[in-house]
Amino acid sequence: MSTITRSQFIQAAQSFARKHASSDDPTPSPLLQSWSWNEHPTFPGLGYLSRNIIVPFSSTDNLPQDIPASDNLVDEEPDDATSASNTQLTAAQLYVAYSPTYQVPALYFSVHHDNGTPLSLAELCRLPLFRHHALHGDQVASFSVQDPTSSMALLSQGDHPTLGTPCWYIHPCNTSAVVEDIMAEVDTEEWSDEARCVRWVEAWFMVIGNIVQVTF
Amino acid sequence: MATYRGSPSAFATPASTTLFRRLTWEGTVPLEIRVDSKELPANSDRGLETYYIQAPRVSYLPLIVPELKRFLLDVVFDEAAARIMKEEDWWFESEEGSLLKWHWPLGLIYDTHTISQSVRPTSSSLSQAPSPLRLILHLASPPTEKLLLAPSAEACKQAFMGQMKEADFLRWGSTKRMTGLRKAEQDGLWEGIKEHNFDEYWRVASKITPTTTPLRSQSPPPMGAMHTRPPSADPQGATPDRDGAYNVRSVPVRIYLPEGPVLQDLVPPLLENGSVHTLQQFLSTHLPQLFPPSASEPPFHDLGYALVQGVVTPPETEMAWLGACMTGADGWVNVCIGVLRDGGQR
Repeated sequence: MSTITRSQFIQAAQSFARKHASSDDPTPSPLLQSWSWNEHPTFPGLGYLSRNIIVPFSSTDNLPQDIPASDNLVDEEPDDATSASNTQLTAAQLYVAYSPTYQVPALYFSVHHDNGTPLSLAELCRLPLFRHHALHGDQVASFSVQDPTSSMALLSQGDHPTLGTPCWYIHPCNTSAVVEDIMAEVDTEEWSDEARCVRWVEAWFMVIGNIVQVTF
Repeated sequence: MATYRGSPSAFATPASTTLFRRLTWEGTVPLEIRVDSKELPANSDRGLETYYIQAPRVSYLPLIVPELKRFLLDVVFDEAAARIMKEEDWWFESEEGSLLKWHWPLGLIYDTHTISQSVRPTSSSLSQAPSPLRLILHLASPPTEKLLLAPSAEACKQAFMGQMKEADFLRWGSTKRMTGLRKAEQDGLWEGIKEHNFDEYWRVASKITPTTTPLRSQSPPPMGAMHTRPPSADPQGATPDRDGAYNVRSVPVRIYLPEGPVLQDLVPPLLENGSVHTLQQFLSTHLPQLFPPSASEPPFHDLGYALVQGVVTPPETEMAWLGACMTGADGWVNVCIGVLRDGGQR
């Protein structure tokens, strides 16, 4: 199954959140934990998952520098004080909302500096939120990250489907094909329809886990 | 606001299709833009700081910023103010304090304002002439956490392309038609909007927008033909219209509620029982409390009305027809729902 309906998503996502909420959840993956279900304040049927995390952000380049040889080289202390002060904390809101166009969930998120300003796309791409290889080889345009192998941008701006607020999102096209492959491998007739949908959501998180991480 | 009768499928000729596409394209909305008086630079020519424009529905705020800027520079600001002016800090809000989105077409901004007024205590009736949408232009301190990051025409173009691809995907299950266009053609769509050139836009859009063909051929089927045929197959032997409006998987439609969320769901052109999907059925499925299903007892009147491109749309309008003839330039049918007053009277 490459897609799920909105009502399947609503049921499965809530079951998923409950399943991984308890402290004796055996799942080792932090990505699957700590999600909570939210509803639109007035309109039913638009629920989504959310979680907030703190993501460190280094304002200096992460590239290693060659230390130039110098006759006057004095024994230098490792510059811990400087590197610590260059690391800021950013607040990231992550959402898993249903995409009615692609009929699958999509990961939406917004990230802010501690003074409230949103991160630029360039800053976003340097966050450890994204696995190192995930955005490698992609073209970073000003307003989206393009994947040269696909017509759709990997990362774009869009309105949160329920809240209407501006967010970044990972394009669902890139995830649903892989989820379908995973489900083809593991699907078994013994599962109830509900259980199958929860497994679908878990497979979706696995695929997302190739792109984002929540522990640093 | 005018009321047009949506063409029943049997009468959807190429001429009427082009007519409605042109009417949609030529639709405009009156905007009255004034600079926030607290932000008018010193030595500005006060009293002249309001700009009036009859703007195309299919255009976008970033595309009218250049002429607005020319006006302010020519008429309102002095040289000192002009030098420090930073367009990238500009942002718009309505008189009621709603933040305007850069990536929404002007027609949508106007219609959503109309419906939000319909739920306010002192709303005017629909039959009055459309009044200008009063906007306040701010020159600094944009609330960046509430807007798309970049208020530029380029960012807007990207958002527009994204919407075109989504519409393409909804209709055909892939974005092949959009991606099959050459880059120059894709750019031509946006250029057509920028230049407000119907022919330039439709030269490309006609390759990806569904066509309107009669649902059933007027002539009797040949002897021995099957009774069930694909709706757009012509028994006279012409090639079936793969691009026909009734052949899409789903019409790209969004519902906008006053002060409410944006709703989107699959909208098949034909229902499971083979009948044509009409606006009435669509609305009573998704908003049954405002648009009671006609089968309910006693016969309830609709409590709301639907605006598409500013037109109060009759309930018998076919969703497929809307998707072929009255979409915005981005391929979407935006249905704005207003609330009726006085027990259902308009």
